Amino acid sequence: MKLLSSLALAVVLSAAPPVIDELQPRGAQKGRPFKLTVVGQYLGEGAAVLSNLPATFTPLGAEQGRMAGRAATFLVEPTAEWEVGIYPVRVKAPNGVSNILLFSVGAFPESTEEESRPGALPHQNDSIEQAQTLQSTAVTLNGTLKGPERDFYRIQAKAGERRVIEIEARRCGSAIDPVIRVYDAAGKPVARSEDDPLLSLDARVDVTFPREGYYYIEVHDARFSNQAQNFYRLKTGSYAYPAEVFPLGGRRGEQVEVSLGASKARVDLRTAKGPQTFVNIADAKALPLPFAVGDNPEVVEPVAGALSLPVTVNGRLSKPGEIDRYELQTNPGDEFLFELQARELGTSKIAGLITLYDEAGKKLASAGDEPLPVDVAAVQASSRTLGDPYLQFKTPEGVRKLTVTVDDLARRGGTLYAYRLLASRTGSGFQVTITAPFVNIPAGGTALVTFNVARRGYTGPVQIKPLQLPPGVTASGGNIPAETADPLNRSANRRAILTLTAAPEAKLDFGEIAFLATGEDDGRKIERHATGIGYSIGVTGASTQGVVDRQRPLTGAWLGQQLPASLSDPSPATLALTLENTEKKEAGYAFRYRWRWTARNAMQKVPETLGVEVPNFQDLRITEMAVDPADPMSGTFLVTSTRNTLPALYNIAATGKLTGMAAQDIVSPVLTLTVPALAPEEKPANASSAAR
Amino acid sequence: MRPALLASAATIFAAAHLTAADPPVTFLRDVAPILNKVGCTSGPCHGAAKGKNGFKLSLRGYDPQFDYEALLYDLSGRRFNRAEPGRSLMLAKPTQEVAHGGGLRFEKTSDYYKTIYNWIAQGVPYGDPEKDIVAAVEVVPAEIAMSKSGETAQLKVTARYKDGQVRDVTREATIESNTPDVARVNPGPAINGERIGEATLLVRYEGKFSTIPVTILNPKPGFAWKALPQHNYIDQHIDAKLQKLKIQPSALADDAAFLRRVSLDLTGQLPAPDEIRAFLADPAPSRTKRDRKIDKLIASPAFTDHWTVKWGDLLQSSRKFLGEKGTYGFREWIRDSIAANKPYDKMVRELLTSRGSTYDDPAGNFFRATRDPKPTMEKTTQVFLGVRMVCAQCHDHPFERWTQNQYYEMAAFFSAVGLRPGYEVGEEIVYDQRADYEMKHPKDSRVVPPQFLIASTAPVKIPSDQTRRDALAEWLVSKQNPFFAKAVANRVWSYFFGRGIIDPVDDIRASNPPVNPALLEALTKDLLDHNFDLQHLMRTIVRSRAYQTSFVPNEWNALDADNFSHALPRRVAAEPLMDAVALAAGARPNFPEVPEDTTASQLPDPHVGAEGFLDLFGRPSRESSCECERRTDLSLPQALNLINGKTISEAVADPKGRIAKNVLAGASDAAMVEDLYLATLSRLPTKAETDSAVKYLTGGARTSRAQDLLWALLNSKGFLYSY
Repeated sequence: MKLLSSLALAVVLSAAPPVIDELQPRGAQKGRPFKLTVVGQYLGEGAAVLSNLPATFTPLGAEQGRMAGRAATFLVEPTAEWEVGIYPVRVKAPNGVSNILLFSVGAFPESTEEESRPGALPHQNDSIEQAQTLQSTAVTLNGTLKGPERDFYRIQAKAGERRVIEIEARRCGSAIDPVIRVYDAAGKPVARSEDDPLLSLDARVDVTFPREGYYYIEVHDARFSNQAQNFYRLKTGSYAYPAEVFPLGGRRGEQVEVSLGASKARVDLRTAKGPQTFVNIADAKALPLPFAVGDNPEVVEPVAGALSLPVTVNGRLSKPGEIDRYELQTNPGDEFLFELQARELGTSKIAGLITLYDEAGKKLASAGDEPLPVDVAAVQASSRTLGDPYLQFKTPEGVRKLTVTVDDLARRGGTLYAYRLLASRTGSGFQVTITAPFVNIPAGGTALVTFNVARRGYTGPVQIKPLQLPPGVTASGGNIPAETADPLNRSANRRAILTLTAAPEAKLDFGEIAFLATGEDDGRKIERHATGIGYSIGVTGASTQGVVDRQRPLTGAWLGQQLPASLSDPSPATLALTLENTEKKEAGYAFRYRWRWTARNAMQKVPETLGVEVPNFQDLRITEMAVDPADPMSGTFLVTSTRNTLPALYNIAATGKLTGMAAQDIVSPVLTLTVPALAPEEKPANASSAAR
Repeated sequence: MRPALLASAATIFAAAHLTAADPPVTFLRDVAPILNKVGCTSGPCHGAAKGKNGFKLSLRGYDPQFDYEALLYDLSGRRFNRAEPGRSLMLAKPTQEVAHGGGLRFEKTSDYYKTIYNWIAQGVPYGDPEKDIVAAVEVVPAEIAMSKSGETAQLKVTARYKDGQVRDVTREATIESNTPDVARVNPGPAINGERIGEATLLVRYEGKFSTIPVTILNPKPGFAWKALPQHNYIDQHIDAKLQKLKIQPSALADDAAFLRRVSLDLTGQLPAPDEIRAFLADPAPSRTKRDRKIDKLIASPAFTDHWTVKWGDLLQSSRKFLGEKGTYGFREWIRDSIAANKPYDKMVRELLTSRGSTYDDPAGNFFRATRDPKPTMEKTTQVFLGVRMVCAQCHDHPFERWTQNQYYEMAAFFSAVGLRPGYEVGEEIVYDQRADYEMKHPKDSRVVPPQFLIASTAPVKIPSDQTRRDALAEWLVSKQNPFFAKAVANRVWSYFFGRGIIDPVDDIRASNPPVNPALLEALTKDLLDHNFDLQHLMRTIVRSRAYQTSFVPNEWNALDADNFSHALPRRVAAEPLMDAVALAAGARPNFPEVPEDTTASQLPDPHVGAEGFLDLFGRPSRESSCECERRTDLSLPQALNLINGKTISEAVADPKGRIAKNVLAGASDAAMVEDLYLATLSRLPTKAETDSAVKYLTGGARTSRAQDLLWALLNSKGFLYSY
């Protein structure tokens, strides 16, 4: 009995951090108190909601029995005026913080699809004949698409009545890619929307019904996919919404007049922090639209004379075939960075093309139409994606004036073809993204953080370090070697791992950790702050059709977060690596590492093999992994390099999966691994290019 | 080769030896035909892609300049002994004086030997392309008609050169029959009539060709044409041909057979039992109610689904190329086009000129399967013009006028088309500014400007506000284009008769003539007159008596399979067959990752339900745009699947299926038998069939025996075929 008690205690002490899978409901009418149930795992006693929704979240008692720890309910009461919009929700529990899910505040009364109510039978409204009736007044209906299904709703309309019907899904964190179809009573199609250009992949139709009668709304996923985040919010009513945004952004610290189609708005960026805020019409019923925030001085086309750098030019390709031109003075050797912001902002359709010409009209460089290197990570051609183009440029001899043009690759134009051209006198650089949305560091243990570097002309090594750490927390790793300059392998040397290790007595309630990445190019120090992704919501592709369709997860860089971090309960065991020896081999080096588990109780089983990660290491081979016969908590493995491995500083970490009741992934603190340069006659073929 | 080089080569050799007594011999006029005739330039010999034993000639001698240079300069010119022509390798090899892998090609005593000997002796002159090229090949007689099989006809082939000279080339010409079991080519050349029917002879000489139709009539006495009602111009043209061939068409199919056939052909679905009962009970005149039914079927959603599958096949709508969302989007675009009865020329124009995001304009997915200019051009010509250009990529087309130059000229229309990933997964941007976009000729890397397939003396001038694709689309869908409307009229016809008037439908060429040119011309004109309205064309076809003719032959048309004198039973295609099983058994098919009520004809692409019933029964994988990808054969694995497979066995025993419903509704034995016959064979059972089936049902466990009966009906030819 005593043994069982101590085991139970160990399990309780080792509870994993909270995870949230579902919010019930996914949205609420603004200003109205409501009950919010958070569904997930490890949502035990003391769970609290963290959100920027101005409201109090009062716990209504923990769930008991089967649902204990799997749901927590809160009474939500406004503390200030709510604006129609999207709000992040996460849970903080004594054992750490959860992921973020998004919550939507709307203007209309809320209702729920019948088959989405708890305990309801499925497939209740999968055909026109079974359509669920919607009220005639404005409403927001919360529904779900469980697997490959269609949902039908019936509405009654008068002749000449206008009705906006839209789906909020992608915009509020659902993995559904919604399609709306509207039929008349005879089943004849009246309207359809799939990807409204201003609504991410969400859909909206604006219908004026020709005659009185019943009409049917069909909602389905564009791919009939099966998603974990499978909810949608069907909003219908007669309301106005922003039909365009121009300009697409403004300067931090200023107030900006924005055209939203039929109306204008004044966006206050005086206190803006992140790279993006939102803009909406007055008394909005629809969700706001993204609005970029920058730090350069801003101008709006047409621009008279030469550009004064740095600058952000706000322009628009108003008609098909239009090419916008800007001039700037230069001297040979000047370095420039031109970046286009358009499609990635979610408010422009431009497939951007930046081109540079000299005074004589000779094309010097372009971006947006250049040949693409082979993407080794692409499952198939169609799964590859590209963002807005950028152009790094150094003025050649004899050139004193540059003309930079912006146009659409497919020569399109119109209201929705606006852009922001960021121009600066900047040399080579890079951008760093923290690819982990948040981290829970086990007390006395280690957590892994990953980074991705998007190189912008800079090919040297990068070092990523935290700017400040809570007391008792240390960091290791964060090294990326120089780019291999292999055009066939775009994923090389762009990923970093870093571990955060907390002492048993470390203190961290909840906060953000910022990171700075540094590099050096010809003696010039390059520093970049890493940006966080806020959240990562998985989107699945088809799984049984023989062709894998990779989908990009939904992320929330717009939240402007860095790395939200919290301490969590100690893990059942910790893992550590040490380098035992390094040996020179015929074609490279062999590094023998020892791992050691330290368990919190003697009954803890540990795995006999580990995962070993050494990012960016060409020809990585892990061999001879074996547990010590005399000590099951320890063992060794061998890491070998080849002639293709660039001599550089790498990072190595090991991960092991604990199974059973305390199932967890445990990671070791990162060690550095230095691959020495080979003797001249042993140099790999690409060593010279790597040295650049 | 440059003219100067040719001239200098000729001069060098001319200086070596000249036999004044012999007639002048040139490579172009005299030697190249010999190389082609004796097989040196054939595919298995030196015309192979990599040549043979180190010696490469152009396939079938399509490039005489290349062949001349190969002969002169390969082996450092050692193929000729100018002092002693007889010791030249070019003569020693084919006469096997030295070892020759190709064996003996001609004797030393032959005329061919003498011609080549003289050519070498005269200094291997190339000839004058302005004079020594064949301008035309003429064949006498131009048409062969035999009153019965067993007769023989002789041919004479003459070549007319550019300088006006005419030469008998009967011996050197190549003559082939497209149907050797009707007309066989014997040495001589003598044409033997083997059996009743029609064939076409293809006569080729030096890149020029001519076709000769051969007809062998039925000698049986007693034929008297019995005129049948003609519903429209189709019947007039078919009757005219049949009357000439002494073939009496079959009578009209009965109403039930018509309803089954027209439902399958227009919608890919069997008529439901209630629909059959209502149609049979309709007291209106048969032709009236048939016309009404045709209109109803064309207006149905099933019609749209069915033709969406057809065009999805041809346009390669598949997630392998388009990703999941691209496939759904492209299918939607095709479906919308069919539902709206978009004029065919407009639909094709949209496909060819689409640009921008494939999310916004799904027609742009047309370019994503083939991606590169050359395969895109091949697809465009094959699907929309019925012309196969693929051979001409490497050499001039062997059986058609198309040259390698034309291949690259046509491909140049697409050479600027670029595809670039978009921001969303599965999205690509179609644009016309691809860097380094000029089409280069493989022979000399020269830039090939775009030029339309039909010869035009003036170079293509593309207005500044147009792209090359715009210009191509304008030309391609023009009513003046001799291929465009004809190709689709022929293709659509084939879907209703099981074969094209030109067959294969995507291989239109002079050497593959239509079986009824007047009919094809009339269909084409009708389509043009109705502004490419494909629904009108289909309606006209299925309203014709020819379409509604019974599959039961008579004594005069039993052997005819080409002239539409009776319906030809066709195995039901994969998707309609699976949907037919579902209707017959009253059971839903169970496809993964699509909504539950999805029919086989509504599937987005062939990756859904892959490697199952549909693929076994010939659903195309959409790897190419060839009609040949869809198989409608009947094989042993298919038979075994029908007998033992899950699809049939589970459908028959479905707890919500037709048998269960009949039993639970208390249907009598006779009523159940009638329902099963209507649901499978689309007709009422005969009294004998009813008696036999009722007897079987009452002989044991009724439900189980009813399932047996349904299983037997699903395995019958009456179910598997459209007739």
